[in-house]
Amino acid sequence: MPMRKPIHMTGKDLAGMVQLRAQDIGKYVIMPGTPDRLEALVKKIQNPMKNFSFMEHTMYTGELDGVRVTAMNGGMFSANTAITTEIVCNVEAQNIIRLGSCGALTEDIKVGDLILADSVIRGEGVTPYYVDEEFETLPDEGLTRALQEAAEKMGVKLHRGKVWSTDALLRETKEIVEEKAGAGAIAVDMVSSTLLTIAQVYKTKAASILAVSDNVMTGEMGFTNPAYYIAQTTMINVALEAVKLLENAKIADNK
Amino acid sequence: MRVLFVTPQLGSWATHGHHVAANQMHAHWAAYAREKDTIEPEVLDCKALGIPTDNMLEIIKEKSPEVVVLGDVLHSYGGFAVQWYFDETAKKIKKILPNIKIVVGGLWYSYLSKESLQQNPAIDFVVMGEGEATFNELMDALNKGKTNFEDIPGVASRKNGEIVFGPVRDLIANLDSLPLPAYDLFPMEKYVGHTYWKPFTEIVTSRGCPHGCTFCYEWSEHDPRALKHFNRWRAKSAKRVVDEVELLEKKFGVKVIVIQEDNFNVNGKRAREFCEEKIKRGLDMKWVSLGCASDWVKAEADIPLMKKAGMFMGVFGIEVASEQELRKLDKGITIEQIYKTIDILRRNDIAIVGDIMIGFDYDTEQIIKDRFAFADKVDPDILWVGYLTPPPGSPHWADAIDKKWVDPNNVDILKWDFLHPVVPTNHLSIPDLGRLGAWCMREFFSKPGRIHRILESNFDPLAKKCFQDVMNNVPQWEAGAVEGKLHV
Repeated sequence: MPMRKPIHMTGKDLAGMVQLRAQDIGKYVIMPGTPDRLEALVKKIQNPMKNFSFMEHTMYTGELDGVRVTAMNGGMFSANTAITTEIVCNVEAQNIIRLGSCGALTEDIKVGDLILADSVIRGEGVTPYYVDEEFETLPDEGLTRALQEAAEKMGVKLHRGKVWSTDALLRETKEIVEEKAGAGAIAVDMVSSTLLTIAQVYKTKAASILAVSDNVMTGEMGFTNPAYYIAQTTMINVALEAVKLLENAKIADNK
Repeated sequence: MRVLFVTPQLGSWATHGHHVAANQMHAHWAAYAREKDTIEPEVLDCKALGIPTDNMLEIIKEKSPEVVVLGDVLHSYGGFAVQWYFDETAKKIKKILPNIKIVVGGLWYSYLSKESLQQNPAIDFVVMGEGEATFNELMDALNKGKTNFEDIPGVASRKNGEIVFGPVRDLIANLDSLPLPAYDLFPMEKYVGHTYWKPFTEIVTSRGCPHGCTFCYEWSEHDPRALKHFNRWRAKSAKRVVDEVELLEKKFGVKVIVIQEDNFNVNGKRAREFCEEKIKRGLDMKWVSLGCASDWVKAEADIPLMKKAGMFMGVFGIEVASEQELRKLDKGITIEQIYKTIDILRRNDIAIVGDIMIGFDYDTEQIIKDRFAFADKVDPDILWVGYLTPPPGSPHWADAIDKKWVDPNNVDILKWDFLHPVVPTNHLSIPDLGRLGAWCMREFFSKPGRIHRILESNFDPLAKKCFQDVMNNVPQWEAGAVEGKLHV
């Protein structure tokens, strides 16, 4: 029996299912991975109102100094991030900032440092369904620069470089890791390449900033290291500061 | 009499990071006997100064005191594990200076005076129970060349190869009669709490406790013939405590203290007067205090005053998860009071340390997990998981011996620091307890929501630093509980 539609379900269908419209979201969509990180982010947004709660994902929209900002836990993995990114892109999100975590692939990057993705190595299973091998996934330059400037303004140590995204957290073997590090990756996560690729396909500006939870090269684990949790809070503050910088720059341009 | 109070080099609890404070037993005994002109005291704190054993022995040899004093009264040095170091130090000193007199007291030694003298020939005297007057009379007797000490209340000694005991020493009725601790003898600039609090020290403003929890370490610091002394709560007056705080702040530059007795708030009026007097004298000292939930609840109206007076963290025992268990342990608090304590401290932006104990003889995996679930729900800012470590003199000590879980003549004391499981339960082995304790710690300290709440709170930065220090050391805690790695 032939399938009746060219595609079973789209991001637009999902947005409709949760009654989300373009006017419901802010100019900036900030997407941490976990609900805990979302909770910390929402506390810093003024007058947050829930847009929807679906499966394990929740979206709020509020304000930051008069600018509408949306916060949503986008997921910890490529599969669920693809869904949440599709939803926001289908309601015409303008800017997406991913707040994630990662493992460092160079010894000099410490638990608690921040990484800003300049480019990615697509190692997950989602993006082959969207783009071919030659496609170059890149974050938005302006958004990335704003995050860099925000970090500098706040005196936060930030590393910029290539991020390798994988689905196989427990198969970060010596051989594979060294190959990716050899290809220039400074960090590994499970989300950046999916989010940035889908955003790029939809021509939505996107950037990815990550808190270092562990160091893959040295074996240092950071999940009970307070530096990692402090970095998560710092990362949220950097994203919000970047929004302010972008908005202030816009005001300055208009003058 | 030239007396040297010695603390050997030793570690700290895994939860406490770098933690070293002036030995309160030494500070009190030295001040008392010096005031009576009985001794010329000196302090050698090798833990604070980072002096290893060999160097310590050289220094002691050079100083050549007539008496060396060892021991402590606070479990915050590392529970009973410190006793191993005191015992070994006694043996090593006696080897190089055979004529020196060695006096021990405080935790463990008080209750186990007989066993200590039997097991360690290097020890000459044990001061049992509250020590100032006993120690002073002992020094006076030595000054006078006496060789018979069995008439001195509170002293255990040897006579013709037999162990003899003086009568029970009465408690000091008025603690204000004691001189201020002899902090001038200590390297006060070296003391640090939780890695980040400095200059720091711990103080003791009251003695005894009206509650008498069955697992409390303080059972061990009483004369075995006078365990009822444990329940005789006596306190220094508020003014006298502020005098000590003023001395620490103005003369020694101390910025943070932990009022280390188990229950600072027993007398609400005294706690209130302390705060008012401290504020009146313009003292900036930040402080932490410990208390029972029932007493924190009674102090509810005074918490803002305590905060104003510098308190930034409150510690209390959650211990177990049900009214029935709380009654069984003679804790004297209720579940409602536990919730209320969290509420009143959090409302005032005071960080909360909650303790739970595991390893009671009836504990099963389910009971421990339920106990943790309760603690997690109650949601203190820092959870301290302690293992039941049967304190000599406590009901658990006798039970553990009856069950042959403890051989008083063969205790692996380096693990008796409350952070290692040392006795099984009726249902769980020691390794089971190790694994379950580590499970509790990992569950508690891996909740990002809790961590964000604390780091983004209005707590004093000192409290946030302490939280970070404890978190940093969770892997060490686990290595102790599961692999037997030593901390102290």
